[in-house]
Amino acid sequence: MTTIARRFAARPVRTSIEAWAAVRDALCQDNSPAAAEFDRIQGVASSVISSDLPAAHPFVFIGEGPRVRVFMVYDNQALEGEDLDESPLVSSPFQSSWTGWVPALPDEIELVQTHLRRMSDRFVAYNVDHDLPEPQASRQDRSLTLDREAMRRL
Amino acid sequence: MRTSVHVSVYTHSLNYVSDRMLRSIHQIIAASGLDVSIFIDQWAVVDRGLTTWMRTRDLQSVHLEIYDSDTDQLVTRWDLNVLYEAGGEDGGFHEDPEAILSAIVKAGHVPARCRYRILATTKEGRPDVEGWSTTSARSVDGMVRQSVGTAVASPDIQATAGYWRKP
Repeated sequence: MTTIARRFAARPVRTSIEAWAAVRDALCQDNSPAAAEFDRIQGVASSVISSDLPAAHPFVFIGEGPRVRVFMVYDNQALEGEDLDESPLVSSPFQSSWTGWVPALPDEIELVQTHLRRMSDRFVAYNVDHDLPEPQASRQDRSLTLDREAMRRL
Repeated sequence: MRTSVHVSVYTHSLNYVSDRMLRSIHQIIAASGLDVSIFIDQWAVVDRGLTTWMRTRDLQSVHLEIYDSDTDQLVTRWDLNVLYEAGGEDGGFHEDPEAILSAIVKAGHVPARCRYRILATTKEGRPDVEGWSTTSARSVDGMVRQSVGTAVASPDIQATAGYWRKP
């Protein structure tokens, strides 16, 4: 399973809600239904970003193509632009069925999950102390596919 | 060139202070035993107010009012007072979450029947912000104010914290 990473500047370059909007714009691009799902959870996503949790525990998007991990960069690193990669995705994971995983501390996961469930069918909280469930291997996974992201980096 | 650099630093100060104030409010609500999901639902509106009024330098204070839903009386109120000047020794970006957390422990849990709302005190003539409406704060008569100290500091803006309690 190929994984793509993106790293977005948060505080103080952006407020948490601006950082989530930047993630939405880069990942969803012209996919309005996906962007609308991002907007539904902007409050809880902003509260997670303001907690600094995504510095080490990313938002993860699993759908079509590679898994996408989105980290946040804070403080001096954000100001200096270190290790940022806010480029739009070459291919969208949101074409059909997809899930967005939101990091949560063990003692907050129930709260975050309840809030997500109320707002969206697409987003789920994950306990940062545990790994995400691995996707079942599919017929598509066993065949060769072009890695557009790797090609872009050449 | 110097003007554009300062504008950029001011924006960073604004972003930093507003974000940390929102985080502090979140922590106070959660640690007080109240339903934080109501605040999360309002995050965008609160953020819009704080950033708009800090940009125009109209924001003076942000208040978290916690009141008894049975009597409508104030139980406690947390204040974040905004100063448009550098804070901290080096004029950089700093926060003191421990100061807020220690104060929350001292203030203690509030009764489960309590509700809360976010208020802002601004200068006259401030721009209107969608989602915010004019209101009056509940009375603090008979209450005592406890200072917490500087909660957030940045090159251009700082916020000091305090709370009102019954003696």
